[in-house]
Amino acid sequence: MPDVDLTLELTKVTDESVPQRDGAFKRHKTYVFYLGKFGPFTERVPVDNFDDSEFMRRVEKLRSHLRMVHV
Amino acid sequence: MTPFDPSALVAMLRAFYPAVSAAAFVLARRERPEYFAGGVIFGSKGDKLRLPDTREFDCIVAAGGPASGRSWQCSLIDPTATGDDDPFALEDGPLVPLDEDTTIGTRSEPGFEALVAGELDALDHSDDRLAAAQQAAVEFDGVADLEQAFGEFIEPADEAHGATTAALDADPISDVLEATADHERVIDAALPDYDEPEPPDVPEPDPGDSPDEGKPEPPPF
Repeated sequence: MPDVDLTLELTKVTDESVPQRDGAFKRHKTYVFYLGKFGPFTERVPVDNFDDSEFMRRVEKLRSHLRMVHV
Repeated sequence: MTPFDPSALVAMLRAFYPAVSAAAFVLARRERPEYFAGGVIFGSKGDKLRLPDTREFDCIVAAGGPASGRSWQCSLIDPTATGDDDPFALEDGPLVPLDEDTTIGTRSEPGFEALVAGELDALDHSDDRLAAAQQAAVEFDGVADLEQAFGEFIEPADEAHGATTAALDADPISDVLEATADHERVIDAALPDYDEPEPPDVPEPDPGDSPDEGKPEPPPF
């Protein structure tokens, strides 16, 4: 059975700063993307405590579950 | 508004919310609202999603069952479904309703006659076989053997049977009745009272001394 096309296609990446109740700002990087024909997916990755690889870890988790659903 | 993709929603739920429950569904709705496309959660078990375009999805399998049996899904609820996907749908049977306009009359084709004729055809040439069998019976040549066996077995048995019958005839039934009447006298001889002397009594045996004799009394409790 041919593998499902789950190529990552980023459509929008934005930096966001969300004010907290204590007056501080929580910074996110928001990714809007497709995996093949599936999507759009929207993931907010905190940039203070995580590195950029956190986004790719989430993408791989989504890919693995999409394969289980559509194989 | 973000377009709605059921596959993306299920993949997100399975990836980031492994504990399947209504509470996790609400949490996902709050943390990742883009996947829900503005839909709202509803249902008595909190397992359904209604989109702004009125489409409704069932998102938890076996939501009312134990946690181990639940799983994420996103199945469209079609209120106009006619049950075509019924897994227990009945198959069409061999019987169909009668058409009331149809008149059932006699069959025009000679089906029974044809059936009988076919069976008779199968009996063709059987006359020859019957004639051959009859001829064999007529030409039976075992008469001499039959006469010999009759004289060897049947005639002696018949003679013995005749002798037994003659002996029984020689013993008249009146003699049997007379002998039976005499039996009553013999049997009556045993009916009188028993008049023989009684046997002497056997003396009662001495049991001897008690084994407890001479032992001290047990202490009181």
